[in-house]
Amino acid sequence: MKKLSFLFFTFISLHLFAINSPLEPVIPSDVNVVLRLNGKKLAEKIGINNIYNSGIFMNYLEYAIFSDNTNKKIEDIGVNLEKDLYFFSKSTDKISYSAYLYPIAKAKLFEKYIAEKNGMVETVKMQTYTVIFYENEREVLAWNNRFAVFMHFDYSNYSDDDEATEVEMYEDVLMEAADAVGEAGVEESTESEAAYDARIEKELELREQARRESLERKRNLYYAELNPIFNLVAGQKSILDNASYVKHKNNMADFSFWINMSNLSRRYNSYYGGYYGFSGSIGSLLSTYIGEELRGHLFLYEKEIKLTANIGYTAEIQKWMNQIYTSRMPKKFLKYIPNQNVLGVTSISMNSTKFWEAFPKVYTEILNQSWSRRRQPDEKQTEAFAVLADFMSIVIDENDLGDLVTGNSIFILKNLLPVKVNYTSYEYDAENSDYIEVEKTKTEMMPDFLMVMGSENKPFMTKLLNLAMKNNVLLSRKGYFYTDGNNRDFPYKIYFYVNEDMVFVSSNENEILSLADGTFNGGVDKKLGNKIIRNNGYAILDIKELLNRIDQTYLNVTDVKLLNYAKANTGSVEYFNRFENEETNYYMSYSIPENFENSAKYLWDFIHKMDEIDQSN
Amino acid sequence: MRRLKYIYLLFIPLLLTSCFEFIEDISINEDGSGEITLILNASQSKSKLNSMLLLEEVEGYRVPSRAEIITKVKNLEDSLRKMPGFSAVSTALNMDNFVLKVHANFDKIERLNEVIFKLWFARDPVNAQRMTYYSFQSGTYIKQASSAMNYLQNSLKRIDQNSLEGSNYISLSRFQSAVSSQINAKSIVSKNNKVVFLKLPLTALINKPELFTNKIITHP
Repeated sequence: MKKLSFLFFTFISLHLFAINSPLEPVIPSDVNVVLRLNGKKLAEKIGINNIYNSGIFMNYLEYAIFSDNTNKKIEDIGVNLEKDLYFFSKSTDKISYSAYLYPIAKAKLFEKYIAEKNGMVETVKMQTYTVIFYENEREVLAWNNRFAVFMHFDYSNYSDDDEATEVEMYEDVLMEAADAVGEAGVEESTESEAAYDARIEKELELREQARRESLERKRNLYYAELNPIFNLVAGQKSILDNASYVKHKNNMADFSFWINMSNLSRRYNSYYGGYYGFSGSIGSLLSTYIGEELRGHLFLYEKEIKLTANIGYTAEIQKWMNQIYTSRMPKKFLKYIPNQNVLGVTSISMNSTKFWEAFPKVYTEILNQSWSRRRQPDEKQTEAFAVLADFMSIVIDENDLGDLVTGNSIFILKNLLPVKVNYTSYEYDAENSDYIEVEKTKTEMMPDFLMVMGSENKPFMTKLLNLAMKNNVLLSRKGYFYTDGNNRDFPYKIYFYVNEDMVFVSSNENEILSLADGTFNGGVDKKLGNKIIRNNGYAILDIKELLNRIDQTYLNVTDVKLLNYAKANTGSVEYFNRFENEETNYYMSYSIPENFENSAKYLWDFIHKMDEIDQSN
Repeated sequence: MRRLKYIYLLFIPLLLTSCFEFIEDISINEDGSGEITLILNASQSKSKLNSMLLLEEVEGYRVPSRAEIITKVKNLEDSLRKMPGFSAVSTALNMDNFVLKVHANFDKIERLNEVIFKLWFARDPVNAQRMTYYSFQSGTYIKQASSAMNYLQNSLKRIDQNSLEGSNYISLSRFQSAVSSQINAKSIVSKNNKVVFLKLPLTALINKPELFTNKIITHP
């Protein structure tokens, strides 16, 4: 969520400066991400004076653009407010960076500001620009007479045989030194105190030497990225030479983003592989990872905030996506949506048989692409990946898996309900000289939900649940399965029921019982049903009602005030995605409450009011 | 950037902050030796922690498994046991209620400074510094957070700090002799004059480390 808030203020920042696009040509052609705004419109909607006088906005500028300086007046810093400001980033095997690009109106004023605000930070005069290296060794600010760029570098995810690796090697030395210190006690229990101190001192010397050498290498890497931005030469390509970027620009949008995902493959591979693991990555693979490009536009209308985005794919992936996403939610699923007011509904519909059929080929294609981007094409490796694809195809029976989980599911968040929870605490005696361990009880809000999944292999699904019973994970009665909340690895009460073509998971025993005995009373209005059926993905969430369910017992006075303001001033959000025209298209709409001039002003006022409440307490 | 947290309310309205209790109970003998008991009590957040343990990753951080947590605690105990000047080291980890207790005897309280350095160095060898947080000499006990807390403040993401709101730090400093003076306005001296008690929000400890500082003079 932090990224979302960051995005919002980036949006505001960009908007301020976006009258036209004179800086676009200096954005390198090989960047992966570009954020761009329609500045004039937002300034009109929010009011330029409101923006100039906003403490929060300045707070953001100090952090995002001026590296935590504390100047409070935009006009004092020499930045040109009448032109575009961009955010762009690049991710490669060698180095990654994110950058804020903004125009300078008065170069001398800007340099004065920089000198005053950065004090002892080292400034280096290059031939065509000046650069400051910040103490954290990852951030730089560089400028010429026309514009400035603030960049944050990252090389920690990469380990190829290149310069970045040499930088890392020095940090590896440091980590080895740390490990040595960490392990010393365990392995050398007989080591004297003097020997221990001497060893540590030696390691600290090594650390200092490594720090100096790595700093020099880092700077050389940074210059390699800065020079093309400041030293434009004839024929040098920029982002404006990217036909897709230019094609998808939308001048009517308040904010636009363009992300070329093909070059992000290695980072994603590391991210999903490392954190989510193979199984966790499956869902992401076909929705995000394999996409070539993500483009989107945000529109701040009078009554709603609307986001549209789409992902484009390679021809091979398009073919598979066409087959996977031809599926639509069967109507019979709709009768299991409880006939009551609910907080939210989400649904997914896809052909899982086609998904599993595509998976080995797509996965190995991704491996191939990822490999070829990092190294020279390698026939042996390509052959190995092809064998892997064949092996996976043999192991995966797409028809059986497709029967087991059909790819259609609906999740209904009905409510948040209070649940009593015991916990351990400590109480201190009247003299504050001792404490005793006590057992206390508190109330927590737990989700009340029902999930319905398509499954056309009841015998196998039942076998799975029976196996869980034999391993004491599940219990069974009256034709359904449940967890009793006493299992340490799964301390929640959840109920399961399987019929001929669906699996039901619920937090409510009476509900699952009614499903099992056929007395469940559900149904959904036609409008909502149509939205679920006509889209591959759909979600609606009543944020206002969700906030109303939050227990205020354990909130402090300020948080209660914040929550109450939020409850009175939030709406509902609705989301769709649909595969059509060879792309996955996303739409999100947030309906703002009444009594706001427009959605831009609504967002602006919301954040400022929340800040005002916080500052007053 | 703290102010930016309000935008979260538009998207994630569930105000589920974590509540932790960190108790530091130190007994100091007249010769500077003593014992320390640390209790990290996350029981009040156990529902949230149980949910997190079902995930692989939260907010960009990998979530360790229960087995990994147990191993890390064991490694901590081993490491502490073998450090010069420590004895009677023990740990107790209750994974049902998420309460961790660490106990150790030390021959001089300054040993704790080395433990903190070692933990810091293992995590961040580039910035780790040896500092004096605890010292005891001639009946005077000095405790100071110094710039280490500033480092912690800077290195913790704002979102991490927000998640600590509602958590408390409790310190009990016990002495064999009576306390004649102490300079921390937030601290309370017990009726028997031998224990100095301090309770602070954990976020205050990080953002205002001076609140941690004390100079306690005891009568021999």
